Amino acid sequence: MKKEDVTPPDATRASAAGSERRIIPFELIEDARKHVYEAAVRTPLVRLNYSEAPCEIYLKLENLQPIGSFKIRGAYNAVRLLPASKRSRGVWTVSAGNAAQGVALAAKKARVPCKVLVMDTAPATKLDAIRRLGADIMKAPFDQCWKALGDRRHPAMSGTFVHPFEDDEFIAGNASAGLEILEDLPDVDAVVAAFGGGGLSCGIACAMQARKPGVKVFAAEPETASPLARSLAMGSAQDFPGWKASWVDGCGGKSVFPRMWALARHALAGSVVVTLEEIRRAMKLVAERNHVIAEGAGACAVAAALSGKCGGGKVVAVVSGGNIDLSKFLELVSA
Amino acid sequence: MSSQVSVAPEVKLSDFQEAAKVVSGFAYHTPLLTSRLLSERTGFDIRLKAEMFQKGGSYKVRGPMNKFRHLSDAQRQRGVICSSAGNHAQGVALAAVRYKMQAVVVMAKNATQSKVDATRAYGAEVVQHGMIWDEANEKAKQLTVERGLTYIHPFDDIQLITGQGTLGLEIYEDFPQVDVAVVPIGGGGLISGVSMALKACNPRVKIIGVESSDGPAMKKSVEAGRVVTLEKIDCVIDGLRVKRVGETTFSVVQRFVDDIVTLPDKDIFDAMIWIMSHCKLVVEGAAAAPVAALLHGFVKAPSGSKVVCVLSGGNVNLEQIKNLKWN
Repeated sequence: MKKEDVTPPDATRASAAGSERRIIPFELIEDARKHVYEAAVRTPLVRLNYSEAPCEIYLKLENLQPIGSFKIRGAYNAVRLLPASKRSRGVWTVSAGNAAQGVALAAKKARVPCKVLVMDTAPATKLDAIRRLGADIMKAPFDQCWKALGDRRHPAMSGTFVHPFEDDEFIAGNASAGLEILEDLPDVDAVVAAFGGGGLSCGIACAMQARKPGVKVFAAEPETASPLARSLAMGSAQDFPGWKASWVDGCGGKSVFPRMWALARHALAGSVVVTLEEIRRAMKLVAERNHVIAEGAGACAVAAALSGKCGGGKVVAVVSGGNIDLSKFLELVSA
Repeated sequence: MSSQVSVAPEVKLSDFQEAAKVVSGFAYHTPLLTSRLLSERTGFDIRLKAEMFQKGGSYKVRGPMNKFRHLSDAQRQRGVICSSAGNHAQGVALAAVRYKMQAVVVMAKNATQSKVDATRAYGAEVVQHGMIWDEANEKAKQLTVERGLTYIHPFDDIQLITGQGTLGLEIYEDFPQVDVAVVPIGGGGLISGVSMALKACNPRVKIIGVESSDGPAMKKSVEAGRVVTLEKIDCVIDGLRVKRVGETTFSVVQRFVDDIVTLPDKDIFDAMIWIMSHCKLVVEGAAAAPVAALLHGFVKAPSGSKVVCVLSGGNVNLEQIKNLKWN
């Protein structure tokens, strides 16, 4: 199987510190909401056309964002909120996929240079998309990239670091998707979003806690990489020992970051673990019934909703992105 | 476009608004999406009318929803019939359920099984006859007489056209700044409705039609100043493959459409792959035609113009394009 994954090894060195409760101030989320449409779009919420589902499933189509994923929300907000002196030095991030495109587009809008440290396993199509956005790409081995994410520094990178998921500003930007869901479907019962770094599901959960605390927000993880489910079961941030790379490359980490654990353990209702086959079937269903292309992570959330484990009633599955090689997509949905 | 202008039936804004009241009771008001890449490539400010999100996966439910409200009680009791192995069948079947009417759909014997199943799943009776559409259509006309059904033409019907035009009203409602609308042409039903509706809202909106150059039945007719039948047709794209357009659609297009551009099937197919890769939308061939015209620079308008592409539907067999080739 082609290794396209950006999920890091050994991120939980500091996990013992992750037990305090973390909160994203709602003012920060409201402020993000006022500004995200300078770069992002308000995406449609559509009903999944599938009458046999165990609940009323709606799709939040973040794959229709200008970079094909929700990451533009958080990235734009994070870059926007940098002090001018820091932003003008240019920005850099670590990613092989969607976050890199988000930061690159945000930097392009701010007219500042952007560098991206990319895993050397990144496929050409993702590199092309990042390059089209005008960012400088440096490839590095997988472990080195992840270390940079933990250290928040890398010898070859310069400028201001934008973390692809764990900072308040980034999470607050993602949370704007949660506010849109509440406006479009005020009586929503549950939301489910894929968990990679955790920035999307936790962001939405923070928005719900402030506006409609009864709404349950679930994480979705593939069985090949489900450290959150393991962490929740054990009561502390954990690694995922049997981690495997797969075409579900936008979610499913090797571990839960301590700062994300401090958010997730209180904000999320649980983690729904699904098989790759369930994800493949959800991808096919969404393509055939609703005519949109979901990448593995996006389909992972839909599979979780279809499993019935997010409860009955009105369940929103966040189709977090659509960045998958078309040939791979067609192979998966034709099988 | 032509010096000989025939008399087009004029549908007024209020007619479209009446139709919209009925159509919107069942069909979705589909979103207008942005495409950053397409806007950058063309220099226009582009929106995509996402009709693949419509009930049945294409705009085709709109027309029957309006058509059926004009039927008499006696006609409704006997039911409707059409011949189609594609979106028209699903549109008629879906709308008939809404009107609690029986629908009969005639398809050729070699119609794709999934289309047969889908149409049955929508509640229609499927009759399979003949090997090509013309033969299926003959059978439909025969059954129309035998069973007292009302025949629903796929495009050449002004009440149907008015229903399709509700799509144009939605475009104007969501994006009143629109300068240009680019619309695919098969039989001409969609572009007839959309062009009249948009021009009723704002006469300055330009309407560009897109046809396959492998079967340019409308363009040839407009050039000839009368409806012509193509001697041969190489176009294989469902929804664009029409040998002879309608008398009504021809006269509407002649009067309300500003230009018709054509591209070969291959370029349209490439645009379909482009949309799937970059916009994350599953579109059928006909829906890709307007985007193909834009990607090839065939839509002439000042830089920065507000351009809406009508993505007419998303019903494509994904297995068929598995190798990124049109099989």
